[in-house]
Amino acid sequence: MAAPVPASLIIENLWKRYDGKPAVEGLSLFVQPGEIFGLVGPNGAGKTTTLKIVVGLLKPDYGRIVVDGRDVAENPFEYKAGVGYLPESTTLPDYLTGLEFLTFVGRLREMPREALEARIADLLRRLDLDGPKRDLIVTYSKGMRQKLGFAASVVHGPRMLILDEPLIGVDPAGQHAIKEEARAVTRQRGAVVVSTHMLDTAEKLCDRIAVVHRGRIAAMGTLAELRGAARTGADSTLEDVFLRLTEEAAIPLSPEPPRRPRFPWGR
Amino acid sequence: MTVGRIRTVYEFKVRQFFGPVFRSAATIAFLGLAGLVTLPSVLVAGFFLPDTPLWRSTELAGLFGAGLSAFLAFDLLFAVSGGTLTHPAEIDFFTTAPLRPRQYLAADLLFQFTVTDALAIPVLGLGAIGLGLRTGNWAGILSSIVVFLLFAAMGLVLGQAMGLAVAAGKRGAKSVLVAMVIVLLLPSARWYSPLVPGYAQVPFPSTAAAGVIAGSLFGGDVLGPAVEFALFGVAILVVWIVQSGRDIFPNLRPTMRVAFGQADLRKVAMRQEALTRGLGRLTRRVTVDLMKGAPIAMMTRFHLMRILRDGSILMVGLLTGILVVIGAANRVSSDSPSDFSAFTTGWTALMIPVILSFNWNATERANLWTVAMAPKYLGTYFRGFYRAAAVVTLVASVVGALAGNAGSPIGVVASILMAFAACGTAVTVVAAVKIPTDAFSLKSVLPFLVVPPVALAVGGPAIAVAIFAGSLGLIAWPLVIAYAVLILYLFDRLPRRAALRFEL
Repeated sequence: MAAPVPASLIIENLWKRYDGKPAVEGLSLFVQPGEIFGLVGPNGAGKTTTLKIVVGLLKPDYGRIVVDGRDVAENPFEYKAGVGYLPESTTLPDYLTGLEFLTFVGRLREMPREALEARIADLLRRLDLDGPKRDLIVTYSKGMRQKLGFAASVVHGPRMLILDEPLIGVDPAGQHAIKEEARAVTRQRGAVVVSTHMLDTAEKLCDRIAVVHRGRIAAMGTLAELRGAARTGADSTLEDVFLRLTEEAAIPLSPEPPRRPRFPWGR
Repeated sequence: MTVGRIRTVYEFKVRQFFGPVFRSAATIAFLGLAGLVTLPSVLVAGFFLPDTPLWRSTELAGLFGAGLSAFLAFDLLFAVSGGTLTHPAEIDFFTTAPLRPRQYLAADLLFQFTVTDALAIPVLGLGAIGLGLRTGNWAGILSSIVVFLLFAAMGLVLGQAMGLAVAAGKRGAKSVLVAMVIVLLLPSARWYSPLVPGYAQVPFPSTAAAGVIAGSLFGGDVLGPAVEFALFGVAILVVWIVQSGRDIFPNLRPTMRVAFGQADLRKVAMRQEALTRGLGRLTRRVTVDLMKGAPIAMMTRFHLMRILRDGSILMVGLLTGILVVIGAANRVSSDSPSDFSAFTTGWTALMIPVILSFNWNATERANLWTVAMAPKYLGTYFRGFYRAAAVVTLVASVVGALAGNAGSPIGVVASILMAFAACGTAVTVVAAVKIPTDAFSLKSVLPFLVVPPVALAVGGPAIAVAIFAGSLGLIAWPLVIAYAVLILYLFDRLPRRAALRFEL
């Protein structure tokens, strides 16, 4: 399917290898404004690598990425102003309090003081972190750290939210709050990309889903479209679809990425 | 049965700790090389020790007392984190087995002695041989070594007992521990103020041991200090017996996650951070308003707060303490410190930026996903790190200079320039190079390899001006000032440029 114009995110023919070992092999997808897009796939499928490339924490070997109409290769910095990112293994500065951390991130995002204070207060309240906001992060539980990391990713009101396993270790109320915040981004015509292993959550939360396997898209579309692609029946779950697709997608690996890199930093 | 269990736990600890050494040929080679380089120089140092002004000092017993007190203070400081060296697996499997706390603690003490003190025996032995060849006082030297090892064991026993009390949350235990550390170090102020009683006048286990050692080496009363030392030993043993009779297992903390030769610098830094946290409210009370000021000011304050809270301040304190001790030794051994002693200040002070950069790399690099998402501020972040490191190092340098390490004012400027250059270089290295946190990788020691030569090269011209100030006359100061301005300008900009190469 061709990407509509203007898409929030376009990834075209993305390639990435680690020491010669393939991680992403010609992956292409697009995400529309107002859409929550899910990435599901087995461990090592290339989901995290793809997301890290989109947010500029990894350099691709080849491919094109366009965020909100801006080609990332042309300006690898400015597009980040509208992007929020929650990494898979959220590492946080243990020596700061939750409030100090969010203030620090807000300053990095150049938010005005009053708007930042109001936004932080709102996020802390909704994520149930208001009580321990003056405690050092080192004292936070795993779920609290995850919620705080999520708060940092949305504190500046991003138009494109990239979430890598956002719900791991989070209590039900926290999961609800995170999902609501993600939906709020799409209501503002922003877009959300979620990588997750929680298939039931992906099924309910995402408008479209891509099943990634061995660095490629095995199938992509709405749940109904995925059921059709997997031939699993009209009432099959995403889990059924996923298992069928990843079983079938024993695609032979491509030996080499294309030779001419389109990124200035590509090898 | 008891001995068998103690031996089983001890063997597990030793194998867990030293095992990786024997699995890596590179580590064995590295240690062998380090031994080949170090041990002969210890022998030579022992031989020439009587030639040093220190050896002839009338305050040598006091200096011994100061050294041993610092040693004991370090044991107690370590105890804040729990008092034992416990691997996480030990908590899971030993404490759930039918093992008595005292059996576990005895094994832990043996292990602590093995890893902290027993390894020093070859070094002490070679130094003693060198000294014995020179002085012929074999009996005195041997008894000094025995007393030192007994004293070291005593420190471990006291540290473990106090650490267990802290870990159990006993009221006032932490305060008592901190007070003991302060009291142990307080007499060092004697070198700066005659109103404070010196180490020769105070009854500490360390001064008793120092008395026995001084008496054995130089003649004099040994019996009095020996009795005092023995009484301290009995008292400490009683405290340990009381503590080890309690159920300490619920309070054990995983304080040892690393093995010898596989030191994970991240874990080391985390331990420092845990120690700082253990010191109480000191670090948490210090807060900064991150909303205020220009970005560079905010980043500098942020890093200062980080250095205080992530445990880096402990190492800074330790190195500053070394500076003060060197300064005190300078005062004892010489009336007028030379300009060359600015190198001593600079050398110790430049280790502070190296340690700060190591700690940053170990604990903070992974957190930089937040800053990397606002890449405009990466340069400001590293520039703020440089300035914060410079402030901390400057304070340590000034303390060192005041303690008596630097001679002329130009010498002080030289040592400060070395410190600034060291900060700029250390921050630049960790910003531009992704350094692994596991030990024995060439990259992991990059700051150690790069920072000292650059800092010494930067300080060198100023030192030269200080030495030849008399010949240069009026031009000396303008020359040094112009040079200082140039250096400060260059090193303030270097980290920002290095940030362009930053990789998470």
